[in-house]
Amino acid sequence: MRLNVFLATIVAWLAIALSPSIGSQKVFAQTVQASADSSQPADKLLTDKLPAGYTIPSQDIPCILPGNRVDIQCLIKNDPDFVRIRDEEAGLEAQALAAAKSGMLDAFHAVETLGELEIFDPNLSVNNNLACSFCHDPAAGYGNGASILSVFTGGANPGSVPITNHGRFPDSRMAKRNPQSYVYAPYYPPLQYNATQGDFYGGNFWDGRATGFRLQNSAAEQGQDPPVDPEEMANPDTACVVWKLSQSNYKFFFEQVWGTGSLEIAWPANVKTVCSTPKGAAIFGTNATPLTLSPSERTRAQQAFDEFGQAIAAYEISSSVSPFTSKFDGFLAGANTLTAQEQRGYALFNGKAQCNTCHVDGRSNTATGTDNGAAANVAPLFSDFTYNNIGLPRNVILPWYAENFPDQWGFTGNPLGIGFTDEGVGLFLDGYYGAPPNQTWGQQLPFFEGKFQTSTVRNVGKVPYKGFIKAYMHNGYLLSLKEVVHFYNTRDAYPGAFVAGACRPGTVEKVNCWPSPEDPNNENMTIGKLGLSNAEENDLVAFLETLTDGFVQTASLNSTPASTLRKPATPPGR
Amino acid sequence: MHWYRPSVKPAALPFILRRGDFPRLRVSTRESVVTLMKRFIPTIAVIIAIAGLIQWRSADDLAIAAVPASKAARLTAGPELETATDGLAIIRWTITNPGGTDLHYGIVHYGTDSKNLDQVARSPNRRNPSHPDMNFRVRIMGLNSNTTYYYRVESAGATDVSDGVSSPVRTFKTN
Repeated sequence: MRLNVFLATIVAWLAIALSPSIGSQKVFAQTVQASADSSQPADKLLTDKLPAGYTIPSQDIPCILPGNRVDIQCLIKNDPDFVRIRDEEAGLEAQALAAAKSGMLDAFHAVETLGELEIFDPNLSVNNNLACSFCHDPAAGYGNGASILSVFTGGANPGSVPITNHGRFPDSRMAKRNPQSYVYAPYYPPLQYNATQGDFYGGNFWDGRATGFRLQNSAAEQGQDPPVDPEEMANPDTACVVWKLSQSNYKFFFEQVWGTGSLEIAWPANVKTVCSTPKGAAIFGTNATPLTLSPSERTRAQQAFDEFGQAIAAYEISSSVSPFTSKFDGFLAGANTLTAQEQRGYALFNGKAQCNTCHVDGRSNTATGTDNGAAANVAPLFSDFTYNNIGLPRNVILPWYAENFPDQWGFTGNPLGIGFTDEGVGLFLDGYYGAPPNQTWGQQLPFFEGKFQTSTVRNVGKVPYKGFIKAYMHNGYLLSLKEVVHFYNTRDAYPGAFVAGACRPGTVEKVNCWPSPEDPNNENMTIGKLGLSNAEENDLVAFLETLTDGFVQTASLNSTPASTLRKPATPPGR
Repeated sequence: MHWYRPSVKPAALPFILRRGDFPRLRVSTRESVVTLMKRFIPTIAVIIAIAGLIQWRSADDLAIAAVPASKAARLTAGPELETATDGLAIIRWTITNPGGTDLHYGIVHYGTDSKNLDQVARSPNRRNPSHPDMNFRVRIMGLNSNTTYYYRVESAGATDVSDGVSSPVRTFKTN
């Protein structure tokens, strides 16, 4: 099996080196002619093809570089989605702070509000410039909220640290994957290997590495990771996050929730210097705790860091983020109906398309799509918490593949460059992030290489505005729900190229040509040739769009003064 | 590309990689069978006691036990070739819902000699508990071009429990 990955990598290298198409990074959907301003110089245009309906915002045109790359620092200043996200973030942070100061929140809503304050606070990053919510935009279903990134970087978002090496791309540390939505994530149990089923269940993250084993809360441990990920918020020490909390304007509220003095820690004199130096800086070597604290102070800092994560999980499971208010929820409750097309899509979801084999809807069903029983769960999560390799091709536009040089801090994100293969759970089990907490799990490596989490399909259709391009899957290769469904339906019907951008003449990538999987190991064959017609694909998309929260207006339980103060995170008018 | 190697490696079995293999018993040549039996008397006693308790429970309590032999899965379609190129083939077939684990593996034994199917390909397929049938599809890679291959298929759950289905030998030819 390992040989397959090696060979695939070699093939990818050769194809990229030899193909004039991939050499110029023309890897986008070949469906619609570019709508970019034709008055721009040719070398300024991304490509001659762009996703259907997408127009590069005029503000972004100066940010497009030759070779179909983007100037991330330019986008940070100019892109309209970036500006929108930061504005919404500031508004929600102010709203949460007002609620915290009101003195009217009960204990339940207080911890949720604390989590909200943390998630929308950019000061918790090493350069005080990146909040969790930037990569998890409420208006985009808590995933990537920048259309331009979906199109140019596979949805991968910039981290807190700019890269200033002259002339190098990317000019920012970038996450290696499309950010996974955290809607309903706290409902995933701590990761366990179920020997009876021969399968892993639970955990958070695309690769399950937020196991939840220590806090027994996967979402809380997931929330602790990005603040100290060198590619994301890049704090050099978990205690730095606590120090930043102690400097925040909601310190009083943290201590109100977790106890007086919970942030009172004897910080060393150099705390500001250390905590403003990004993780991965050569000066730290391999030291993961460069902030010098006594053992007892370190313990207190760890406790506060755990409480930080738990508050994040409380916010994520709150009715602001995971409310079960979609049109489908209303349908289950008998409050509304589905259209004929949505009903057909639902029948396909349970039947011919086999979606609910993994995205379980909690209801009994038959292959014919006729529901023959009562609801087993009136609030289905649409995930069985397992992991699968659906055979996605490598998305060569991810800037991660170009992060193979030391930045100005001496940090190299991806020394392997394009040779990096994202093995998903395989990376986690193989020790990429350090040894897994359960040493017996390593034995399962051959069975889980290439697998990624079965995310909930709730809110997959949620977008900030019409025309927004949303990136799907861990590497953002698919750019619409239609593409997602078409991929599941025809992956094996149109095997056409070794890598993206190298489809044979006469075929169109993502239409009747699917490049080979990035990691062929453990490829799930339940999907790949479902035999759906184009109309049936559209029916499925219509059903998936009924899973967007906010359709059902709830009032009874959310009318208390405390909950009224905690508004839903999606800004008004969306 | 391995950053960490587990200290315990899985058994490298080409047919079905087995999970949680118990350590092999090591019995000294001087130990008699009787000695060995004595070592296991407490264990055997516990097993008998548990078996008794299970017998005492009602049949309803045991609804999730293994599928009885009378309801064993059977082949309803295929196996047949779905796709064949110079290096890749996909074989597909359908059986009645085999029960057992949600994660299953389709297994194809193949080779260029019908009497020596010495190569194996296996692919994960997920079982939908509510569907009456289960489709299996297995991807075979690394095939030679313009070559006739012979194959037969079977399937098993994720814990290596066979579904009890085996096909006759079939054939396909690559381009």
